[in-house]
Amino acid sequence: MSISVPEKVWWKPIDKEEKIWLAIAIIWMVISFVWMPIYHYIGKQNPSSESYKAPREQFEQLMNDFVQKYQVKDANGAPVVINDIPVVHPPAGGDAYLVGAGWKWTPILELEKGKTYRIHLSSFDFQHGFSLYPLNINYMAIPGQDYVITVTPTTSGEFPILCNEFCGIGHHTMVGKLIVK
Amino acid sequence: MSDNNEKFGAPGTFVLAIIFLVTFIIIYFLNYKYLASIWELR
Amino acid sequence: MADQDFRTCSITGLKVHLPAANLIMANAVAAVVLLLIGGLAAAGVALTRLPSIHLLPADWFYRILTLHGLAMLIAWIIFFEMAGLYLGASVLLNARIAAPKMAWLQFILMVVGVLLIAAMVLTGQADVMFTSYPPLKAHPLYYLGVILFAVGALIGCFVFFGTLYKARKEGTYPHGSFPLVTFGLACAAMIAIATLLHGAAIYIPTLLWSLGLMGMDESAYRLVWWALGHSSQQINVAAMISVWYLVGTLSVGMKPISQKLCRTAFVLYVLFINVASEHHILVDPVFSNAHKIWNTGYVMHLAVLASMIHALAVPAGIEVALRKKGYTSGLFEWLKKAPWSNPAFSAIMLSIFGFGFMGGITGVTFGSEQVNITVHNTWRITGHFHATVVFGTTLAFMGVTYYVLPLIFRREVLGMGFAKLQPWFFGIGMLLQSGGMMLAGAYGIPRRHWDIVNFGGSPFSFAWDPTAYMWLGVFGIGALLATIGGAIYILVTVGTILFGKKLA
Repeated sequence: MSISVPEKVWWKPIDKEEKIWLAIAIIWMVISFVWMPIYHYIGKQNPSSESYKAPREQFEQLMNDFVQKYQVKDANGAPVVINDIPVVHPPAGGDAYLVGAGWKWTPILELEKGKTYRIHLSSFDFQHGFSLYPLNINYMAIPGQDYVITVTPTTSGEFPILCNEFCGIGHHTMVGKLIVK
Repeated sequence: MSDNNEKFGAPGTFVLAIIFLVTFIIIYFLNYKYLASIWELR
Repeated sequence: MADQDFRTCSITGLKVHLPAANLIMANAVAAVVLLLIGGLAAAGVALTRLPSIHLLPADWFYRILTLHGLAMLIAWIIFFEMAGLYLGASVLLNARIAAPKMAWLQFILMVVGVLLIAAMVLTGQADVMFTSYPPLKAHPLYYLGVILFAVGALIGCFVFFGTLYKARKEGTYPHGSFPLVTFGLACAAMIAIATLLHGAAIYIPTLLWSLGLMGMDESAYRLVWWALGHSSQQINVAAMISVWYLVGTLSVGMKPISQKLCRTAFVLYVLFINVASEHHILVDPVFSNAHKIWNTGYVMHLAVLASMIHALAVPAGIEVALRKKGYTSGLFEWLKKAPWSNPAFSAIMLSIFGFGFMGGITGVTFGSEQVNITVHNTWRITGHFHATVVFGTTLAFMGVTYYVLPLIFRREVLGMGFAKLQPWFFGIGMLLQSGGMMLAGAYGIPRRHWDIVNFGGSPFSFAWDPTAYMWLGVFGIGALLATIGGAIYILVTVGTILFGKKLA
């Protein structure tokens, strides 16, 4: 009984049924473990390992330069904004910047399907959860950290970005947009 | 527990455990299959 | 030895140290009170997340959600586990509690901690969620409350080991190894000590930070906090599994199929779960893939192996015990003829199913380095841990209560008819609730979010796939059933303690 003292020598061989299950369980655990590093070689979706310490001033400077240089202009040459957020078209294969701050995701990135980008993700205030709907792609945006995610969009459209890490009373108002042409 | 190494002492449980394992494997790989359909990420 | 300090249990024959019984009762009562508070908070949160009701305003939603996490995941569960520790070390071994005064200090510190936490949260001075991620900052007294609670729990663990030592030295139980249930609880207590030390390592600096005395790195916080956060869940797993063995024994006379296998599995938990916390930070910057995979893959899977062992061992033990009673026809006669009308038994069977199929499978899957990209901070995570901690651990604790009431409180269960239904309402409710959360989360529904319909009026507001709302509805039905199940449990427990027929 589980509530009574066991027999003196309980370190006995286990039965066939238990041996078989133990073997199966170990095999499955090994498969499940090695699948992760294997997927780094054969899979196309892996969490990024590239990040840098990025104090706000530094990241903000880079981001502002980026917006200045690549902001989309309309037919009259006026910079395009949607709901006061600049729309920015990074170069294919290049760097893009995206920050969560003041319960907004800034800027609105306009990417091209099939092209690869290095998106630098950060925050200027609280920890935010970058969540791209509906795919669903989720990464942490942490103040003081530049998290570089190399992404190749394979579908086009307009994608909402939610925040799914509690960041204060305006947390649920934090919605952004990412466009893929 | 059982002195008989040939017969399973708990065959019903063994079947349930196998069902559990199969469910596990299916759910695990279905999730990876879905993952493979989203954008490429590194 | 003052034998008047003991009474002999007429059912199990064990000698119950009266101070131990008092400690068990005090902690169990505190646990149920906190379950009630957490349950009311749960109702508030659920009724707010259902868009058609949207009960609470935003600030109160986040506040009550913070309270819900703390009341359930910390207070209810750890108070109940303290009661379990005294049962495992003292009652099961016919032993006296080592240092009863320290044991009462455990209780007082945990109560004071809870009161401080509740006061800070309810006055809006700790709107930080259970995880309290910096730079979100709470009032220093909030962190102090958590620290006091943790110190109390730590003292409880030391009293547990002191009692085991004394029992062995005084030979209060037949010579040999500790019973399996005591062994399982000892493993839980070992994990608890390591966990609580991690807690000190994070909450003391955070307290100092809240006082303006030091800085706080956000990523370092996440790493150390989750060393506390995940390991504390493994305390719950080890305790839950010990309860499965305990109830299995009391309800059907279950014997462990292999002491070697079961005890080794418990030891695997102790060795590996303290390390395997990085599945919470898989999509974080700072940490390398290699680090994440080693921690989440290699180390976590060794702990999961332990769960896979218990997954066979517990039901197998029950099956063997029932087959001995004569239910040998076919593969499943034992299951059909099992004592399903015993609420303790039905509770643990449902707990085993819920923890294994819903909680365990999704835990390992969502905790894999790559899949995590699609699930982090969505409602799938919330669905997963409700399946493990609520459908699994909480339901098991509810089940064992139906034995603690007659055996320790010495009262006949009042409202046995309702008690028999209680695990079914709660279990099926949690199945639908967790399942609903996981499926809604698969459509992107986030956790900890007040307004998924209008996003507080954001101009970037968008429409969800309508299927998400369907699963939200399933969640709602589950939440309703689970609330009924929880309410029955509390009414039966409180009713029994106050009005139940006193047993000789």
